[in-house]
Amino acid sequence: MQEEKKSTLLKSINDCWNRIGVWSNAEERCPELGNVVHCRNCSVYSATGRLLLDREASEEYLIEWTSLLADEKKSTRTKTKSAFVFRAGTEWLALPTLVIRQVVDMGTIHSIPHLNNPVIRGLVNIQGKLEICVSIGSVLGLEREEIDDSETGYVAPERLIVTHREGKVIAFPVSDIMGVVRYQPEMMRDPPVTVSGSKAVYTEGILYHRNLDIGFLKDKLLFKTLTKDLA
Amino acid sequence: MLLLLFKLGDGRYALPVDHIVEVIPLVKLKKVPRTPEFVAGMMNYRGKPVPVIDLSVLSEGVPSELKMSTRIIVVNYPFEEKPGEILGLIAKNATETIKSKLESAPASGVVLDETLDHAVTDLNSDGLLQWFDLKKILPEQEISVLFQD
Repeated sequence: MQEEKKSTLLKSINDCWNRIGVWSNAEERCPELGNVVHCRNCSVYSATGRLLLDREASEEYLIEWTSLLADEKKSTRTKTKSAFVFRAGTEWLALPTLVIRQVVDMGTIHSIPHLNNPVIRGLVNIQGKLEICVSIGSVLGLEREEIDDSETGYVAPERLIVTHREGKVIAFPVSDIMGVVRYQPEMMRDPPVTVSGSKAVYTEGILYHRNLDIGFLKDKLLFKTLTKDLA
Repeated sequence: MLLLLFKLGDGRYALPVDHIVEVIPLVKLKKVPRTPEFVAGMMNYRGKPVPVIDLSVLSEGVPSELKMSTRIIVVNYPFEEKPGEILGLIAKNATETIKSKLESAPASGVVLDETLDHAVTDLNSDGLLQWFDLKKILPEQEISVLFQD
């Protein structure tokens, strides 16, 4: 009975948006489009949408909502924190947004003579000031390997992230930047036990975001190591 | 001012959102004996019994249809003495909100299309909306009976 009703409802719908509207490739276009620009601004479209809400509410629907609304309301607004997500080689990493000062286009890295340290790559000019440029991959022991972008055809430009903590400024180049991501502290998982070496030492936890496992770095420890090398 | 639109009979009404706590789907109600006919029953709202009034019974004398678009508007009834009591109102077609340039209730009790942000997307709209005044349509002495211990 319900199924029957449903099919008659579906048949009665005139889906002009699919035939002559913005979701069609037909030559003939709806004359109203000139006035409303997009089907979603059109009264025919919204009236049909409302038709779906005019369906009968089923018994299960009522029972489900009765029990849902009888419970205490759980607040969905929890405190979120902010992380800055970037990619170094093949690894997606994150640092607290507070330590990020700016992101600039990749410039020339001037090597420092007689400095035999794989971590320190040299000096970079950041708005007229020379700052130390390091390789975050060397600290974490990451392999320098490029992601194959041939499928999407997108090649992210290499950029420099300028970070600051306790008055010390350090820049490092990254392969790609996702940007600022808000996360809930509960979302952070412990790093897998299989991760070992320096990567494990510097990883606070793993954030899962947009189908990616993002290694959240211990900024305090990372800065300590980096600035120790400079001394 | 943001207004929630719904239908009473054939007329469209607008309720300012200030009084609204939440708009929820229809739920199972517990009938309460010896209450006026327009009281559809009590619902368990977040662990608290809340009386629900069927606006269709009030205006047309027939219960609201069990449709997805028929919803319960949970409102804070502005009682003079003990504010903060909540009340459920079953309303038809409670599916749309609209912005209005009005800052308070219109003297005529009617909202004109010109004061709205966009035209009401109802094909049969006559360009007029009735302002739903909680206290006028649901007089305090009738409602307060529901909250007596």
